[in-house]
Amino acid sequence: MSEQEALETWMRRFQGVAPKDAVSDPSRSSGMSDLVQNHLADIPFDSEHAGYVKLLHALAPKELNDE
Amino acid sequence: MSSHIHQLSLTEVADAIATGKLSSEEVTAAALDRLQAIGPGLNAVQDMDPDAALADARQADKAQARGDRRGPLHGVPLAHKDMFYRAGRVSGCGSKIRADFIPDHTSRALTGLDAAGALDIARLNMVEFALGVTGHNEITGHVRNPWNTEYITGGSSSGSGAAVAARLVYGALGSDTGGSIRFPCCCNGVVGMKPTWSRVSRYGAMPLSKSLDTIGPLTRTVRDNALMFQAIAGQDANDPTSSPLPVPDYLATLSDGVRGLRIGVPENYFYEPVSPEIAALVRASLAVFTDAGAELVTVTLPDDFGDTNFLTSLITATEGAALHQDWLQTRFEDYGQQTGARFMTGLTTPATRYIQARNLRAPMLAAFNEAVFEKADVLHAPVMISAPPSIGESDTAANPGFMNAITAMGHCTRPVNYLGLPALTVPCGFTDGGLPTAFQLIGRPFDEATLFRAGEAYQHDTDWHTKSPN
Repeated sequence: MSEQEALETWMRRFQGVAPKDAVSDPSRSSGMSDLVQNHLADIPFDSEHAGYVKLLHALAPKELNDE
Repeated sequence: MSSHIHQLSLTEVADAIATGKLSSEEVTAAALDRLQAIGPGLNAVQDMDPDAALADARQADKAQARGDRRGPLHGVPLAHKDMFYRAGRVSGCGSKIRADFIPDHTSRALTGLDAAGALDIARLNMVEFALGVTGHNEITGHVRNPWNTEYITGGSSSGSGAAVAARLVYGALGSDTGGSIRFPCCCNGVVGMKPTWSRVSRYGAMPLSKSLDTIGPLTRTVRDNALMFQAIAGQDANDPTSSPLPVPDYLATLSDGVRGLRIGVPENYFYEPVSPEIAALVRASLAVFTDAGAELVTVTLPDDFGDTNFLTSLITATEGAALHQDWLQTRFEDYGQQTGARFMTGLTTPATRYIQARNLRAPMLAAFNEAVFEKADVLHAPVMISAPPSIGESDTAANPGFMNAITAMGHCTRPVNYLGLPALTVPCGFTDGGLPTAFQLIGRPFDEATLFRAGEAYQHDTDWHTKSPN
């Protein structure tokens, strides 16, 4: 089974879509997957997205946080 | 004055209505004339109801006559990207799938403008489901740039950018997930605020990627933009992600100038793929700031900063695919070819990678903050890497080879969405081909006030914002 056939089979089975030629190049996703892989050590073990929201507010102008 | 009503800024026309020099009915009738006369040639207007708009304007005039002004935008006609829900009115989202969708509630952004007294007189065309940077739309047709109708408007707030630039309306709402306010502002020569993530409620606005979606105004001037933004910013119980931080009075500090302001100039990343022509125009704008008393500071972005561009794409594709999965399964043929294919790509993202991409935002934001905002108050950067391409050459249905160039268009915009920072787009000149370009000022989280102040100082000493297409 080619990589393309494997992807199409996976998409049908797990995502419920028959991609035809619509997902002919999954490289965008897989390339970005590699990119995240290279950053794994940068993510603290106990992190969650709420930590980003907290930081966003912590970096706001001081006068807004003081009100 | 009536023959030049359309040339007034939002601020000027609001003042003229407030002082009785113009009625809302006169102003609205003039806007409707231009929407009907010029709108179709630009394909900027999705739908409008002139009789209802004029009736609303007359109501506004009557209210003012009895001393009942609703707010600072009383009687001013606006129109918005066709993705802001209004109860009982179609919100088509630039699509076939939602062409007949009638929401049962009204978006917080629209109720904010309603409360300020603005009129909502038309739905403006947009990129299908806001997924695209050029302004192409296979379903509702491509919006055309009023400076040269053979060229793109940028997207996805394509109709908003074209309508404001062509003086059809005085301001318009757009949305920005990867550059969708900033591209149309840059291509059409208007001002746009892409706010801090969570500063403006997304309640009742069509979602694309909730982790990244932001809502902001497109206007002719910075002052106009601050006036509109004041009406839409703030916490909203209907959007639990909206920020509880207080909203400052943006107009109070607008004219404070930039003396002593530290403007960061990036020595890496942003300019690397930018054409010499655009780089020269954007860099030339720095002299205006230094002449006004600002200090330029060279900043070096983290080596991996460029990864934020691709992390934005990963999150957008994945969250968009999750929202659209049912339609991808049942109505795929109703998407434009490029839109369906792009959403489909998000279905291949491993869940672990998506979670990790979101969890990387905090360390990436911390690193950016240390590199930039410990030295500078704002960061000055290009918006686009080149002059706007023509509609024909950038139509990927006919020219698939252009896809890489379109992907590259987000180089300067997508990282800002990933970090969640505010960015104000300000026109700064014209290319040799006669098309506008712009810079963006990127600020600290929730510091839109400083961006407005800097943008106002720039427009005080320049006249790019006074130029309009024929």
